[in-house]
Amino acid sequence: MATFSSLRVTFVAMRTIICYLRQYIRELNTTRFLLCSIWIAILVYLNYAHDLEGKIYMWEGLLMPAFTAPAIVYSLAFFRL
Amino acid sequence: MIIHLVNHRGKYSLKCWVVLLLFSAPLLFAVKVGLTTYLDIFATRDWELYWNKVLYWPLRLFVLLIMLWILAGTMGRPGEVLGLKSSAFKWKPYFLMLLMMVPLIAAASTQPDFLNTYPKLKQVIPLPEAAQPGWLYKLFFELGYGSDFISIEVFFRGFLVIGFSRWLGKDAILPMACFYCSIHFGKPLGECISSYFGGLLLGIVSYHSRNIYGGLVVHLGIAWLMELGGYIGNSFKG
Repeated sequence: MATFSSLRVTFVAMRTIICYLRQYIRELNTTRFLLCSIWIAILVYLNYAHDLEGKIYMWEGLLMPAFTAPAIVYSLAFFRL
Repeated sequence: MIIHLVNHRGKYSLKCWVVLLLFSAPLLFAVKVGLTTYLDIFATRDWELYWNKVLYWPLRLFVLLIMLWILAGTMGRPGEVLGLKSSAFKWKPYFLMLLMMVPLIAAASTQPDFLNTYPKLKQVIPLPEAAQPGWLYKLFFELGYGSDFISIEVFFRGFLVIGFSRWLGKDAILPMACFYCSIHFGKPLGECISSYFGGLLLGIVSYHSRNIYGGLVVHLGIAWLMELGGYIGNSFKG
């Protein structure tokens, strides 16, 4: 009985998470999502095909390159919104 | 979007503050990544190497938490801004989500690039000779490694999603996912791509639940399962 009750609680909570996802997808601006996805896809391609991270971080130990890379990614993603 | 938001609120100072916070986010993360925490206080060289590997992530977590706590204090109550306050947190569905990840991690554990990266435990193997029992010192390393995921959850899902959502609403989730994906560039390609969607999922959950604990359970669980997968996969590889 306790197991059944526990499973029920898990199922209900899982349904809540699925509701969160549905709500987000319903309210999602498709253009923004596409732009962000394409943007990150380009960066992933550049990184794995042309070692983008290696080039950005080649001055290892300096704070600026480490700051610049995520700042570019983050702010561009924001301003594309 | 920000300009629209600020005009709506009608305050120039708020605009400056949001933009400042936007740029402070990658700066904080850069400080965490670029921090030098090498401790030269151990008796022998092998212990020095071991403890510096174990303490690498907890020290960074400590510094990041202090910085975030101060910054979050300017945005509201730090515990709430960073998603650390939770009432009636239900952990079972997150364990179910974690269970769903097991087949994927098992499949990844057969891939050469995954086995080259994991387990991270390889970094402290061989252990110092006096490290007995060995499992305890391996556990110390895994706990230290796990603390990195606390800092990631507090920063990405707490500060960037829950913290920024007071101005940006659910629009804070997508940029966080892009930023989060970019920190996986040194990892295997499959992990990097899935981190974008994983980041979105965890962002959505934390945005609605207003806490980071669900994400933490899933993320930490996946990280330790990957350690286990890498350990078993490398054992079979010989």
